[in-house]
Amino acid sequence: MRLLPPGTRRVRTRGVGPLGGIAVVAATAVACAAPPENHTPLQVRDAWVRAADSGATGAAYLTLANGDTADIAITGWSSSAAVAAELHETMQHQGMVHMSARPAIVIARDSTLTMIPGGLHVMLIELRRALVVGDTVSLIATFADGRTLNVRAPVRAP
Amino acid sequence: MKRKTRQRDAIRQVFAAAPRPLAGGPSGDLRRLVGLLGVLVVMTACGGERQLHGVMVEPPRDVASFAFAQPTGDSLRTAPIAGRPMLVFFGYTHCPDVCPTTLADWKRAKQKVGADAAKVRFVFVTVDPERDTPQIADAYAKQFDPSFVGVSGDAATTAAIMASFGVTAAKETGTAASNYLVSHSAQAFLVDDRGRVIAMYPFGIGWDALAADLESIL
Repeated sequence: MRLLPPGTRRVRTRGVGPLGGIAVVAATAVACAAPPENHTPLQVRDAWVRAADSGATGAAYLTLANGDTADIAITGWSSSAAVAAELHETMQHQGMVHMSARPAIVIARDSTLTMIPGGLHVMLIELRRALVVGDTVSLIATFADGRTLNVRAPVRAP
Repeated sequence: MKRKTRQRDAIRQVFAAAPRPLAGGPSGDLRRLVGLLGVLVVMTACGGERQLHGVMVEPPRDVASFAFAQPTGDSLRTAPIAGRPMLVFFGYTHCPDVCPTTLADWKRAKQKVGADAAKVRFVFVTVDPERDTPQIADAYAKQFDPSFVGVSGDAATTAAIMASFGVTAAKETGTAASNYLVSHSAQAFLVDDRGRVIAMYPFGIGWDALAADLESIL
């Protein structure tokens, strides 16, 4: 179920043509994007945020497909719903779990970054408001070259 | 239930009776193997020991009982209650990923089991009492299901219950924003109604395994 290994998975994502269905999902997720991110070649799908109380720590999960011919590095995250947002990865070792911050992550061309519970996630630190099911949360990913990607992720039950 | 208990006791006796090898020599191993085969024969004859999907703890391991002050003013005691098994998980509320996923899995398992699941005591124990007050810990658990209980003890109680269950946790330097993170044992423990851990559920095992086991023991 969620036992998929975190990390990247190769997919055919060159261009938007063959991926109409995904594009629709991505379009929903990238709604309200400011001009620059319209030009980013990342497609977003399966974005969601776990419901949580105000002041608590939250997590967002999304899948990012890089259909570009160049690798893309994401070097920052932010969300209006939280004081800070950081990409972290949950690691398990001999029954212990710990998290490692991933201040920069590269999504190789033609590959996909998949975030899932127990793996990569965007940690939403100190939520400014309660995240309630049905609500949406906006997330901004900043690329190494300064471009940004806006994502609107629905809040789901924990 | 009683028959299975007798079988378990029989297993314990066989292991206790098996002479210990002086230095792990082949004769000791052989005796133990013979003992084990004997147990298997008895188990087969009696219809088989219960099999669980979690990582079974054989023999079941006694855990000490603890009391935690609750926001209501009552105290939650982990002492066994007949007919009411207990699930225990150690985590912290600033944990964004593993802890909520585990508690969400508990909720799914509880829903799958249905009305009988009301007998199960679902207990979330914070390993971060410094930040998680009893109020915070309990409110956190109740976000997932109103029947879940979250507890936070003082440093001594927290250390003692962790030692009793054999879990560890360590503060790790986080980023400036996240302050500190806590690495911790991530398995849930199923404690039977006699106060013995009978199975563990490593993170990622899936809620369906837990649901099946709860159905099996209730």
